[in-house]
Amino acid sequence: MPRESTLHLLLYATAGLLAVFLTIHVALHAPGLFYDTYKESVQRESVRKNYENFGWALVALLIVAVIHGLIGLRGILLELRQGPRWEAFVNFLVVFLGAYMLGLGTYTLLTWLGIIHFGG
Amino acid sequence: MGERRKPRFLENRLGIAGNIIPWVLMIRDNPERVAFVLHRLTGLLLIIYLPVHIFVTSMTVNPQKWEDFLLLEENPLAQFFLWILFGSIVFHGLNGIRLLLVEGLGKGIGKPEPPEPPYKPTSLSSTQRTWLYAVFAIWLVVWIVGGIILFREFGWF
Amino acid sequence: MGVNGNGRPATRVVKIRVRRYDPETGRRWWQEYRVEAKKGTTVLDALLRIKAEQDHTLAMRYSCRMGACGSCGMLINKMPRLACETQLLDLGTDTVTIEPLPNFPVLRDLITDFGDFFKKHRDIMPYIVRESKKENEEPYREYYMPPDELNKIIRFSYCIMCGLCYAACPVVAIDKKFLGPQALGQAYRWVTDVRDEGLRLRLEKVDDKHGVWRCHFAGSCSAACPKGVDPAQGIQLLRSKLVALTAGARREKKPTHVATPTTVRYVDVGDAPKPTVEDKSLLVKHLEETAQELEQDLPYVAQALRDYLRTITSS
Ligand code: HEM
Ligand code: HEM
Ligand code: SF4
Ligand code: FES
Repeated sequence: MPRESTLHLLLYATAGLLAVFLTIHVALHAPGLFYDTYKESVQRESVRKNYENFGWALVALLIVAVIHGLIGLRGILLELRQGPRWEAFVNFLVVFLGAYMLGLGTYTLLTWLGIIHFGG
Repeated sequence: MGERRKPRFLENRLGIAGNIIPWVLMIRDNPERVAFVLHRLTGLLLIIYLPVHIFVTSMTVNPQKWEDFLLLEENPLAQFFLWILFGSIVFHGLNGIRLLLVEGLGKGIGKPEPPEPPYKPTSLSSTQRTWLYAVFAIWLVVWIVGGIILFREFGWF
Repeated sequence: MGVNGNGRPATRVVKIRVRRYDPETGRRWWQEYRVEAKKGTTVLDALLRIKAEQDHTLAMRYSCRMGACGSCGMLINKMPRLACETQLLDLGTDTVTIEPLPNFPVLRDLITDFGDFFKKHRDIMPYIVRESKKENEEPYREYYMPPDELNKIIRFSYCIMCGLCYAACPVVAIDKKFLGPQALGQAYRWVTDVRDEGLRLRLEKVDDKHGVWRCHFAGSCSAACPKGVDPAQGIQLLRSKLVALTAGARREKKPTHVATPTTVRYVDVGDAPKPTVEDKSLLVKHLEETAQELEQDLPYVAQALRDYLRTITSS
């Protein structure tokens, strides 16, 4: 495990990046800005365009959000209970969730970009 | 006289209620605590939402699954949740920027001057407090206006 | 019953509800008393009167009765306050509830155990730490502290360790290992002290899972502090300092104003004043006469004079 100060520096750095990325991400789905309606923004056609045009930006959002959210979650859980077994569990949970989200998120993007082929 | 029992001391921590319910204690002039509670609840909602969201967006690769999911969004409860989520993002983001300045850069909390009666804490009356009121105001306006636009699209009124 | 300038009665009977605890049976209950309050009657006055006149089993802790010792912290109307600095009529309620300070183990009634709290304070080393081992273990001179540097830390040194901040903190409420506002505020106080070089050592406790990062600036500590210590400010300044250090900011400047014990030696206090009596023999004569006069009544003074005489005549 990295030192606590390193983790929290990451928490703050990712917070700053999220303020930019997440604003753009939400604006992309807000009615009346890039699409006339919310529903239009989540149509498969719009989503395809997003993944194909800003796919790597979406992965950047993914990475930043996962790091920030999980360090935050870890903090809350460490406050909730104390003890070496709980701390080990929390660290495991956070790494597990991170691996799941990063794995699945990149899988989706790579599939859209045609690098991996959707098996279904 | 009966035998005296070994004294037992009472663990008297306020616990989760004391952490997350601002009025368990009546600390006056402390909107920062309300902001802390909201920041925590919204952060928790967002990090619970994120794995679900990534699972859901992974369905976009499969046209049929995505169509099925979009049907779910016809549900008023799902629509209402979208509004709650939107409000959470706005509050957490705005207040997060304030916290970034206060916690990360030590801005907006004044300088440690020698205290004088009546001993008002500087950090709670400095610019940080103004930012906090701005966060609350902008958040409520954006959230409500966003809600009106969103629910009009959903045909609620 | 007289009437105050503002038209309110000068005295009022206040109902006091005390949350009591008996450590032998483990019973916890609310007990009601009635006390006549007038302007100036503090909660501590009321409790002491109850103890003297109504119920001698009621237990509380206090010492100075003037907001200086930090012993009488209690939860009064759900707000952590000093009982000796809170006036019953100022509270403005007909019923006043008094509970032991939360987040501290209750020993009996309103008495709480400060062991953990004090230990956390000790953990951050609340004293000057020097890099040189010799200076730490055998200090023999003061360190120089310029007034403008003192002004930067004096607010934090007003802490009376009453624990009100610790009781108010929403994180202490769940995390029993969290250092808490008092200890962290003091950590900042020592880390900024120009005479101190203990930053690295203190970081072991401060830069920890249950250290400074567990603070989320709810600010309740500062709102509760009776001394204007503003621990929340200290914690944010401590944390931003650490964030900057971690981000690779240049290492803290060496404390510039520190006067090491060796340099203090060279501070020029001037020479001893010139003797006013130039002719030594006159002084010797005067001292001998005085010693003789005092021989009878104050023999030890006479002896001291003779000793002194010997030192000036031998040099
Ligand atoms: C207002 C609510 C939100 C809506 C309507 C929404 C919608 C979407 C949609 C439709 C996509 C697919 C790509 C695209 O069209 O851009 C997507 C992807 C993504 N969203 Fe959101 N989102 C919302 C909030 C969030 C939040 C709060 C986060 C961060 C915590 C987030 C993180 C992501 C990530 C990381 C991806 C990429 C996933 C991948 O790599 O496959 N979204 N979102
Ligand atoms: C929009 C941009 C965002 C900003 C500026 C931001 C900022 C911050 C900051 C500064 C903190 C530290 C607060 C503290 O120490 O009390 C924090 C905590 C947290 N954030 Fe964010 N954040 C953002 C988005 C997100 C997102 C998208 C998530 C979820 C994926 C998230 C989840 C959390 C969690 C769980 C915490 C811990 C809360 C706590 O300990 O009470 N944040 N955020
Ligand atoms: S910081 Fe204030 S509230 Fe906390 S122990 Fe010191 S004097 Fe009491
Ligand atoms: S009795 Fe000393 S502070 Fe109240």
